[in-house]
Amino acid sequence: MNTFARTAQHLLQLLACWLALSLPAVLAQEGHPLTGSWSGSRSVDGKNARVLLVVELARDQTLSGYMLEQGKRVPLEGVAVDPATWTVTFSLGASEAGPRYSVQARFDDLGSATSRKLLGTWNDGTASGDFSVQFN
Amino acid sequence: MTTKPFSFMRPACLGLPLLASLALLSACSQEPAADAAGDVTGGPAAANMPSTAATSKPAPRLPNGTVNLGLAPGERGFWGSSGSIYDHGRLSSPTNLLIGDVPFQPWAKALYEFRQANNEKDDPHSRCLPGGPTREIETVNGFEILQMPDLNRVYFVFGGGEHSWRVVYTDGRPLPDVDNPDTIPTYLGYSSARWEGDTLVVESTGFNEKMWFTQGGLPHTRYLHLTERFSRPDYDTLSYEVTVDDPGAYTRPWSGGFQVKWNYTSWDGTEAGEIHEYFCQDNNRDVQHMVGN
Repeated sequence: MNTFARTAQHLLQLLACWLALSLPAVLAQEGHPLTGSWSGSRSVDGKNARVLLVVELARDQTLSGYMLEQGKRVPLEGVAVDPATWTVTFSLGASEAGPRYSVQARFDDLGSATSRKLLGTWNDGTASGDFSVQFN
Repeated sequence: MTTKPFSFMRPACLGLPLLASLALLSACSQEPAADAAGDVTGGPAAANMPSTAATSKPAPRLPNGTVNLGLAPGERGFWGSSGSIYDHGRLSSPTNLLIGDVPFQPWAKALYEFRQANNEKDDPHSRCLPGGPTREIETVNGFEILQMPDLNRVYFVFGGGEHSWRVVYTDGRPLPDVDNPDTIPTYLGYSSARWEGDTLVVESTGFNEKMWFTQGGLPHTRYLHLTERFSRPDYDTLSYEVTVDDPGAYTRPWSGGFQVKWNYTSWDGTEAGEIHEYFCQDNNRDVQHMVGN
């Protein structure tokens, strides 16, 4: 590899590191603690299935959104936050093709705009496991 | 008069968070040496407040007769310390709601109490990110108001925090629709103003949710609509009233206000009467002290 190629490679590595470091600051939010996008996983049969959660708050306080998992985009139902305990519950819509389960979770590091998490469990009536997502 | 809508240019808006990220990285890489973010009214900075006049003269006016909310020709000074839009502290309006009477949505009340219980450790302003318009005015280190009627703009230049500025348009342009996906939310929102007598009435929407719009961490959502009323009852006093309309975080619109006092001297007591150079991003020593409970 010549000098020019090495320099370019180093510059690209630096750029990638900077983008990774800057991502939390770019996406931080301080409004309703559940609204926005979250990414993480749920454990299924000892493996982690990647999930992407998106939630929006309407003017009338209704929380809605969807989960992306296994290439499916499944609407959420019954999204609720209990501010007394900072716990979150929701289900994946039974009318849609794709995974169906309910989630009970609690906020971890609630005040942080960069390291806030939802930690809890999922349950589909016959199986259950850990559920963990971090605010993007 | 030509009225232009706000332009929402994604590349420019993308640059803002990137610049903020750069600032954050810069702040993290500095050696500790200077003051904190400097945004605590009545805190250590307040003990060094510059002098204000004992008696006041009438508010100055521009050649076109409009009240001058800023520095008059041949004068010196800048706007300094302020109060809060809730409770009845120093310079705060006696008609303000007490914090217990602010009509929070349940989640917003719980989040405000969480922030208070944790000594506001997660305050983005402490990380040199901008606050909302009210927060920038509340920030110590002073600010200036520059009216440019020929340009149909009023500029607010803030000496504290991240040392930024706010542009308020006075050409009657409409506010953006916050439900339009092309509206890019911003820290200071989009502001359009009109004069009602000697009062500048500023309407603002299009705020992002990355900031605290007041000191103390009152929550807000992207639905936030601020109506601010600026007047100058005398030379040394700026009256600030704001109506907060955010159905996402509050059950009804509510109002509060405070006075801001004119400072004739610089913060170091010299006669210059100028805002000193201060950048939160330079040697920010605040973050590591924000440990909460």
